[in-house]
Amino acid sequence: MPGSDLFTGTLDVIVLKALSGGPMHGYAVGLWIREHSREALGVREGVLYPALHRLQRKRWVSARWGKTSTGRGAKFYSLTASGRNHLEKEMARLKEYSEAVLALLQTADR
Amino acid sequence: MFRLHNPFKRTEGTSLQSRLDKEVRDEIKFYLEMRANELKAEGFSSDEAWRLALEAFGDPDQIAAETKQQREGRLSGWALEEIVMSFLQDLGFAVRAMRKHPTHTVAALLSLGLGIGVNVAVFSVVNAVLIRPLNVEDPDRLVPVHTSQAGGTRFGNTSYLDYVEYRERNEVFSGLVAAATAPMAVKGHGEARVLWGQLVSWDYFAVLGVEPVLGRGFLPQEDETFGTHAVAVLSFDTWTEQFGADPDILGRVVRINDSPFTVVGVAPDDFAGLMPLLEPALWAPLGMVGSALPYTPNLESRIDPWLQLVGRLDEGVTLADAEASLEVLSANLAAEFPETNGNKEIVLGELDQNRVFSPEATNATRSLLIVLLSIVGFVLLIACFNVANLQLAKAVSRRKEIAVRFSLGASRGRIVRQLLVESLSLALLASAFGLALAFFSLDVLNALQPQLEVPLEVRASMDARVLSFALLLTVTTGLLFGLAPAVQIMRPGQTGALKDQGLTVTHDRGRNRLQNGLVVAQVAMSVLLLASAGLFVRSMQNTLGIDPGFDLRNGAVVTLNLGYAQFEEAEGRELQRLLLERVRNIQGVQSAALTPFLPLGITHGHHDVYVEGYEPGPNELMLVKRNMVSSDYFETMGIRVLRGRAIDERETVDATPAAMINETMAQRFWPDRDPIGSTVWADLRTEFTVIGIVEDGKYGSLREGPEPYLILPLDQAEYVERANIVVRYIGDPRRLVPQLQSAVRELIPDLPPPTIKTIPDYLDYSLGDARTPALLVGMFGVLAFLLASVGLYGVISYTVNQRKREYGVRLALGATRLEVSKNVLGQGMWMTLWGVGIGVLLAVGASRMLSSLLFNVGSLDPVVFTVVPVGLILVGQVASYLPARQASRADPVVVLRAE
Repeated sequence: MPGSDLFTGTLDVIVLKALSGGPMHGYAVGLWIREHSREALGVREGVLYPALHRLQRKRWVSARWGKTSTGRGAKFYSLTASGRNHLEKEMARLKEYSEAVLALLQTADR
Repeated sequence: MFRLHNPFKRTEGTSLQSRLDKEVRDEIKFYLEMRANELKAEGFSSDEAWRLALEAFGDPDQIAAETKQQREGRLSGWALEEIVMSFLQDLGFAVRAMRKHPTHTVAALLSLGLGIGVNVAVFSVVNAVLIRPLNVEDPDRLVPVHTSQAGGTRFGNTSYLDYVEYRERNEVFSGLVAAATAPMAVKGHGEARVLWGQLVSWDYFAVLGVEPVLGRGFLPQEDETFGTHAVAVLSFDTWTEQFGADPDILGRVVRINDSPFTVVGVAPDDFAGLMPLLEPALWAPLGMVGSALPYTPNLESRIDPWLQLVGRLDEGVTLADAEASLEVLSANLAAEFPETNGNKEIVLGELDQNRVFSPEATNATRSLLIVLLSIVGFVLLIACFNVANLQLAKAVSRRKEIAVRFSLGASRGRIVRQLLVESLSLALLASAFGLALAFFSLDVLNALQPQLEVPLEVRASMDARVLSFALLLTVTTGLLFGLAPAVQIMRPGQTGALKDQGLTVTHDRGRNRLQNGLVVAQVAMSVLLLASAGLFVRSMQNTLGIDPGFDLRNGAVVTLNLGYAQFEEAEGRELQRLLLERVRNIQGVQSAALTPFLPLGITHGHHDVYVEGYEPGPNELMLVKRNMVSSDYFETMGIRVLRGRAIDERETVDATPAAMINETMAQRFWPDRDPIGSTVWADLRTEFTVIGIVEDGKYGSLREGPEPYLILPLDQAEYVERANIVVRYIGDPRRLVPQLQSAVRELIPDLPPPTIKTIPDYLDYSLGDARTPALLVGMFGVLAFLLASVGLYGVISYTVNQRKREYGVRLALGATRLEVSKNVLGQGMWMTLWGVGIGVLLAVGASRMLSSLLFNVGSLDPVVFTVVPVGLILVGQVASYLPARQASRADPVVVLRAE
C-alpha cells in the first residue's frame, strides 16, 4: 500500500535519500535523519530498523557487513539501482503533490 | 568504547529464525552503543546516557519483532511455523495488554465468566434432559403407543390386558414392548437403597436394539408365567457402584424389595432408558410384577393403566399406515369390550416427547428450559456489552500505541487480528472460569428439582456437546466484544493520533455513540430480564396465596412403602396400625393419622365411581380422585367437615362401609339432593354410604381447579402398600424427625429408611414448581441488573474523565458546579430513559410468550411494570451521581495545566 499512508512512505523516502550519498550503517542513517528532520523518526528512533529492512526486502537497498572507522563490525546499507530509481520517482511524486496542495491552499486563501 | 549492556529482555528466538534474529539484535545493539556514546560525549553519565538512548529508541524487543516482520513481509507465502510464530507474538501482546490493566482484566473475566458459567450450566441441563441421544437402534422407527380415554388424558398409559391385545393383534409393529417405572428398594453389596427400576416385557432390549455389555437380555419364557423367573438386568451404574464392577456378576443375587433376583445381564453405560430423568437402576421382566413393584396393579383389569408402550414400526410401514391400522384395532376392541374399551382410542406419540414422563410434562419442561436459556443468553449479552465498553475505553488509551504500529507499516488487518486474538484469549480464560463455575452450580440446580420419593437423575455432565457449546459461546463472545474496538480501529483517521495529542475540546462522537448505544442496550435488556423475573415472582405470590384446603402447619410426614419388603396384606395392615399407635404415643404429638396420598403430593389414586340416582351422560368419565384415611385424619390435617361426620374408629373392617366426599363431588353428582345417606360404588363395586362432606382442597398442585374427591376408610378400602403418617405436633418439628425415624426402624428393621419431612419442608417442596422458576429467573435478573448498573457507571465515569478539561473550562468560564453535575446526570438520565423505554416494549412482548408458564398474571402487570422501570431510572441516577460529583469538583487550574 505505498502512498496510502503519507507517514510510512515519507520515512522510506527519507532513508533512501540519506543513503543516496553512499553506503552508511544504521546509526549513521539515524544521525543523518536527526540532523535533517527530527520529526521523521517520531517518538521512537528504533522505527528506523523496520524501515531499513522493509527497503531491503523490496531490494531498494542492499546490505553487507563491514568495519567502522573505530574497527567495530557493523551492517552497511547502500542504495541499489532500482532504489535510486524509486527515490527519483517518489521525489517527483511528492514534489508534484505538495505543489498541488500548496496551490490549492493559496487559492483558498484569496 | 561504551560498556556493553544487553538491551533485550527476551531470550533469542528459535533456531528457525535465529540468523535473522541475531542480525537484527546486533544492529540494534550497535545503534544503542553508538547513541549512548554520543550522549556521553554531551556530558551525561554512563548509566544516564544508556537510559536516554534506550528511551529514545523504544522497546528493543518490540522494534526487533517489527523489524523481522518487515523483513519477512506479510502473511502471503508464509510457512506454517511462521504463522504460528506470529500468532504466538499476538498472544504475547495479548498477555501483556491484559497484565497492563489488571482491574480491567479482572472485571472482564468476572462478568464474562459468570455469563458463560450460567449458560453452560443451564445448557448442560437442557442437554441431559432434552438433547442427549437415547442410544437405541434406529430411534426414528420407535413410536410410543398411548391409550387415550374420552375425557381423560390423550397420552395415557395402557392396562395389561389391552397391551396383550395390542401386541397380539397389531399388524404394523415388528415388536411392541411394555414398561412400568417405579421406585424399588435395591440391595447389592451395601445397604438397600430406593432407586428407580423398570419392569419390562421380555423383548424390551431386543426391540430397542440395546446390546447388554455382559450377559443377555430377557428370554421369552421369563415373561410367560407370573412370579416364576426372578431375573434382573443391572444398569451399568448399578453394576459399578453397588457391585464394584464385579466381573463375575452374572448369577449373583440382587435384592429388589427384599426379594432375591438373579443377575443375568448388565446394560451398556450409555443406555439410561427412554426417560433420561428416570434412569432405571435395573430391569426385571413383567412377569415379576408381584414382587418387584411397590404397588399391585390389577392384571385382570382393562381400566388400570400402568404400562408405557413403545413399538418398532415394521419395515415399509409408515406412521400414517400404523395410525390407520391401529384405529381399526381400537374400533374392534371397543366392539368386543364395550364397557371398558368403548371410549378408548390408540394414540401414537413421539419418542422425544416422552423424555420427561409425558408429552405434557416434556413440553412444559422444554418451555421452561427455553425461557431459562434465553434469560442466561441475555445475561451473557449484557456481560459482553460491558466488556466491549471496557475494551473501547481501553482502545482509546491505546490509540498512540496502535498509531505507532500503523506508521511502522502494520496493516489494519494485522492490528485488528491482534485485537481479536486479545479478546479471544480473554474469552478463553473467562470460559475456563465459567466452566468451573458451571461445574459447581450443577449441584445447586440439582437441589432445585421437585422432590420426589426418589430423586430425579439429571445426568448433567460436561460431555462433548456441552464443551462444544461452551467453545461456541466463547468464540462468539470474544468476537462480539472484540469487534467493537476493532471497528473503531478500522475507521479512518487513526494515524492522526500519533502527531496530534490534541488540545481540542471535541471528543470522538462516533465512539461515544457506540458506547452509549451499548449502555442503552444493557439497560433495555436488564429491564426485560427484571420484568420477566418480576412476572415469575408475581406468579409465585399468586400461587402461594392459594388456600391448600388444610391448615396443618407444624408437624411432620413420614412416607414409607411396605412394598419395599415382602409383606402379606394382613401383615402390612397390622404393621401400619402398630406404627400409627407408636407415633401417637410420642410426647408432644397432638394427633396423627395414616393415608396413602397427601394433598399437594405428586401421586394420587383415581377410581371409577357409580353413584346411586345419577345417570352418567354418554362418554362421561366417572373417574374421580380417591384417597383412604385412618381415624383422626381430618383433625390432624385441619380439614373442615362441612356436613355429617368424619371417618373415625367406628369404620372397622366389619362395619358398614362408609365414604366421605368433597364439595365439588357433592355438587356434581347430587346437584339437588342431600348426599348424606346415599350410596356410592367404588373399589371393585363395594357399596359405600356417604356419611360426611368436607371442604375442597388442592390434591395435586396449588394451581389445579376444583376436583371431585372421594375419601374411604383405610380399613374398609383396598389395601395400599404406600403409607404416609401425618403428625400434628407442638414444638420444633425437627426434634420430632429422629423420634419418627427410630419408631419405624424399631418396628420394621428390614425397610429402607423412609422419607421424613417436617410440614414446613413438605410445603416448601410442594411449592417447588412455583418457586424454582421464580428463584432462578429472579437470580439471573438481579445478575443482569448488577452488570448493567456497573456498565452504566463505567461509561459515565469514563466520559466524565474524558471531558474533565471541558468541565474545567466551563467552570472557569463561570458555570456553576450544579450546572455541571446536571449536565452529567442528564446524560445518564437520557441513556437510562432510552434503555427503559426499549426494555419495557421488549418485556411486554416477552410476557406474552411467558404467559403459559405464569399463573394469574396479566401481561401488563401494573406492579411489575411500575416497580422495574422506576427502579432502573433511580439506579441510573445513582450510577451517574458519583461521576457527576467528580465532574463538578474539577479544578479548572489543575485540569488546564495537566494538558
